[in-house]
Amino acid sequence: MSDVSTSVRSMNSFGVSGLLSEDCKVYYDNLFNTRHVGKISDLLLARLREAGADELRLRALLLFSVFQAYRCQPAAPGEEGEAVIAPEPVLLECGIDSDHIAVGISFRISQDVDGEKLREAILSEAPPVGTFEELLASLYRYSDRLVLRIQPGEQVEAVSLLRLATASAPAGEEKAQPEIVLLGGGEEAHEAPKAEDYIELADLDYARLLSSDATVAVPPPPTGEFIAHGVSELEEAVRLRAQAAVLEQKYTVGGLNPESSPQLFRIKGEKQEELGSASTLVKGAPQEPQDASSTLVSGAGEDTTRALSEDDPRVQLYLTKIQELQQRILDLEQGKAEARVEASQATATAEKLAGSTRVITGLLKKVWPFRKRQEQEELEEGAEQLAPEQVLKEENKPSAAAEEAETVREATELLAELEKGKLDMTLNRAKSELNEIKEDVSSRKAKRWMDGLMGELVQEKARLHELAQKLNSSIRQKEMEFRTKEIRLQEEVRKRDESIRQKAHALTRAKDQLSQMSMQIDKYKSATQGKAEESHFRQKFQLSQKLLLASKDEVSKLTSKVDDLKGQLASAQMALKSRGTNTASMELQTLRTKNERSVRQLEELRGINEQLTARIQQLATRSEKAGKPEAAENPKKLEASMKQLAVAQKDNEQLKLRVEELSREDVRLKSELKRALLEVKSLRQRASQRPGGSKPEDGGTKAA
Amino acid sequence: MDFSRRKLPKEAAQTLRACPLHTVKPYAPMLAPAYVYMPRNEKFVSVKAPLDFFTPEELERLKSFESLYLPDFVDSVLPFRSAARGVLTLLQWRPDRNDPSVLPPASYELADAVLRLLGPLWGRDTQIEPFFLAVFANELCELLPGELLTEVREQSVETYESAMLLSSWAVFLALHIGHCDLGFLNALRVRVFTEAAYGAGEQRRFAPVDEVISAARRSLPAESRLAPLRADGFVGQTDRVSQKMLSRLRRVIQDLLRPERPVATIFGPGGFVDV
Repeated sequence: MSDVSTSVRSMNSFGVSGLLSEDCKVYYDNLFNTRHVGKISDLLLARLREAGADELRLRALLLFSVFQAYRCQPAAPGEEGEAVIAPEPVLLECGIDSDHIAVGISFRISQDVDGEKLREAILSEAPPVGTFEELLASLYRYSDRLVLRIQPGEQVEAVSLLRLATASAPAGEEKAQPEIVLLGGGEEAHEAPKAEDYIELADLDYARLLSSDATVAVPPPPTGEFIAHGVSELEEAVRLRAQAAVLEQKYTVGGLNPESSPQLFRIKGEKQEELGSASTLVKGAPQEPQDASSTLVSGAGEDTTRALSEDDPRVQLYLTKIQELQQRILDLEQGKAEARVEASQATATAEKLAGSTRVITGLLKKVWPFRKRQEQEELEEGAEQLAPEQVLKEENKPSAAAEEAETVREATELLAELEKGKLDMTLNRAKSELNEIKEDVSSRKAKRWMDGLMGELVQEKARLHELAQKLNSSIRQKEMEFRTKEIRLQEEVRKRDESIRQKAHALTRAKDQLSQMSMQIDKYKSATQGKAEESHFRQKFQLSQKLLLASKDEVSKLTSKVDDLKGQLASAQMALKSRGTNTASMELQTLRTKNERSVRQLEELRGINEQLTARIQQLATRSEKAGKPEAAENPKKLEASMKQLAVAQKDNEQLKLRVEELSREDVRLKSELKRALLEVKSLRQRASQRPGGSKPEDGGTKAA
Repeated sequence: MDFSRRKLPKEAAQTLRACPLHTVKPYAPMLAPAYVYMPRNEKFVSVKAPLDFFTPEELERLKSFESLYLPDFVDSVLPFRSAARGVLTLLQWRPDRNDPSVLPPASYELADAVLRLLGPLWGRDTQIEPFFLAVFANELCELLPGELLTEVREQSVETYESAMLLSSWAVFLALHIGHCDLGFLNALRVRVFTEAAYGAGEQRRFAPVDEVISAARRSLPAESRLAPLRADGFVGQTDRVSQKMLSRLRRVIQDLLRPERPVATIFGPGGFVDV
C-alpha cells in the first residue's frame, strides 16, 4: 500500500503513531475489563464521526481487538458472572491522521510466536486455531492493513488500519498481506515517534458526545379528553431505578462541567415537575375528583388550579347560608329596636294579667332570680365543663388562689355569656311575652309596672355589663402585675445564676492558681535538692580543673621538649650534611682526579705498550736477522710494563669502588635525613594532640 | 527522613496535634515527625521521623504514652490524604447486585473523576513534592509488606526512603494516564519499591506498565528524590508516557489547578526541614 507506506515512520516501535503521519492524534484508554467496550466504541465513533470512517468496520475492529486481546492474556480467573480481569491493562489506541484510522491493541502474552506460521494461518482459508489466531484473522478481515509487532514472551501489539472516506484509494490495489515484526533479539525496539497529541478518552466531552437528541413533546391524544373513574391510563413518571429515592452520589462522575448534577435515570413526560411517589395524578381538567377512585384523563398540560365559578352549587349554597345569617342578624337588631319601642308604648291588660300571673311568675323566675339563677347555671355549667381532674386540682389549690381562680372563671363565663347574647335572648323573650301580655291586659297600672320591670331589667343588664367589664379590667391588671412579678423574679434568678457562675469561675481559677503554686513549690523543692548536689558537682569541677592544669603543664613540657629535639635534630642534620657532603665531595673529587690520572697513565702505558710491542717485533725481526741476545731483554721490559699496567688497573678499580661507596653513603645519609624529618613531624603531632595542650610553637629551624 | 526539630519545648503543645496511639497501625509510614511527651523533662521528644514506621513491638513499648503528637505541618498533608480517600472510594465503588439498572462507571468516566481529585493537588506553577505523593500512595494503596519494609530499612534508611518515594510517584503517574485499577496500582507499587530497593537492572521493555516505571525513574532520579516534580519536566521527552502526561497536565492547568493554593512543602517554617 503505497499511500500507507509514505506515512509509516517506524515499524520497530510500539504505538499507532509509528504508522501514521506526524500530525496524527491518538485517543487512548487503559482497559481492565471488557464491561464498557460498547460505551468506549460509541464514544470513539461519536468523536470520529466527521472523519468519515466506516462505522461498522471500525466497531468490529474495536470489539474484536478488545475482547480477543483480553482472552489472549494470561489472566486470573474472575468471579462467576464477571468479566475476566487481567493483572495488567489492555492498552487501546485509536489514532487518526488525514488519511487513515489506526486501531491498536497492546497486551501481554506469554507464549512464543512463529511469525511465518502466523502469516500463513491468517492468509489461509482454514479456520484459525486458538484465540490469538482468531483475533488476527478477525482484524485482518475488517481492516485494510494489519501490522503485528511482537516482543516474544512479553508484549504483542496488533494495529489495524482503515482508510478514511476522504482518502483516495489507488486503483486496482490488492489487500496487503499482514506484516509481522519480531522485536528483541535481532531487531531492536525503538521509542514510538511523536504524535501531535495523546488524548485520554476521559478528557473528551463525553457527556455532550454521547447525549441523545432533545426530547419531543408528546402531543395531546386525538381522541379527546374525558374523565375516567378507577383507571389510571397514563403515568407521567417512569422510574428506571427500583428505589423510590435517588441516592445522592458524593463524587460526580460524568461531564466536563464540575457543577453538573449527578446523573438521574428518570424519564418524564412533558414537564419536569416533581410528582409524589404514590400519585398517579395526571394533569387535565381542574375539577377535583369526587372520590378517590376517579382520575382525570387528558393529554393536554392544563393547569389544575382554576378559580371556582359562581355557578358552582356549593358556592350557591354557601351564599344562601350567608344571606340567611345576615338576615337573622338584621332581624335581631330590628327585634331589639321594636322591643324598645313597644316596651315604651306597652299597656298591661287586667284580664291577661290574671291569666298571665303564671307567665309573669315564670318570667320573674326567669328574670328576677336572675343572679341566683345565673349563679346556679354557672355553677352547673362549670360543673359540666370542668373535668373531675380539674375540679380535684382546683380543690387541692390553696384557698386564696382557688378563690381568685374561681372569680376569674366566673367572670370569664359571665363575659362569654354576655358576648354570646344569652342575656339578650332572655330579655327579648321576656319582651315578646310582655308584649303579648300587654295586648291581653288592659290595665294601665299593669302596663306601667311591666314597663318599669323591663326598664329595671335593662338597667340590671347594663350594670352587669359594667361589672363584667370592671372585673375583666381588674383581671387584666392582675395579670399585668403577675407578669411584672414573674419578670422580676426571672431577673433575680438570672442574676443569681450569673453570680453563681462567677463564683464557680473564681473557684476554678483559684484551683488553677493553687495547682500552679504547688507545682512551683515542687520546683523549688527540687531546686533545693539540687543544691545538695551542687557541692558534689563543685568538687568534681575543681578536680577536673586540677586535672586540666596538670595536663596543660605536661603538654607544655612536652612541647618544649619537642622543640629542643627539633633544634637538636636540625643542628645535627646541618652538621651531618655539611660534613658528609664536604668530605664526600672532596673525596669524590680526589678520586675522580686520581681516576683520570690513572686513566691517562693507562692510556700512556697502553701507548707505550704498543710502542714496545712494535719495537719488540722490530727487534725480533732484527734479531732473527741479526741475532738472539736482544730478545732476552725485551720480555723483561714487557713484563715490567705489564706489571705496571696491572698495578695501574688495580688502582683504577679500587678508585672506582671507592667512588661507588661514597655515592652509596650519600644516598644513605639522605634517607636518614628524611627519616629524621618524619620523626620530627610525628613528635609535633603528638604534642598537639595532648589534652589542654596548645599547639607547639614552630621553633627551631626547619629541615632543609 | 532527616528533619530539624528533634525536641520541642512544652510551649509547643499549642501547635501540636494529638494522635491516639491505638489508631496508628504498624508498618504505616508517618506523615510527619512523631513526638511523645516526657513529663519529667517537660519536653516533646521525637520517636519517629517522617516516612518511618512503627513495628508492632515498638508500638507495644510506647503503649504507656497513649498519644503521639504531630506538628501542625500535618495540615498541609491532609488534602493529599483526603484526595487519596476519594480516589479509593471511586475505585472501590460497586453497584448493588440487587439493582441491575445501576451500572458501574466506564473507564473514561472513572479516569475523569480521578483527575478531578488529583488536579488540585498540583500546587502553583504545577509542581508537587514527592513526600506528599508518598502520603497519597500510602493512603490509597495497601500497606507494603512489613517484612519487606523492615528488611529494606535495616539495609539502608536512605534506600528505603528512596524506594518509597519512587514507588509512590509511579502510582501517581499511573493514575494520571488512566490506570484506574486498585489491584494494578498495588502490584505496581510493590514491584517498583522492590526493584528500587534491590537495584533491579533496567531492561528495555515496552509493555504499558514498564513504560510507566521507566518514565517514573527518568523523571525522579535517585540523586534528587526530594526535589519537586514539575510539569515542564516532561517537555521535550519523546516517550509515550511523557506525552500523555503533558496532555493531561494541560487539562489540569486549564480546568483544575487552583493558583491561589500555596505549594505544600517540607522545607522552611511550614515544613519539618529548616532551611
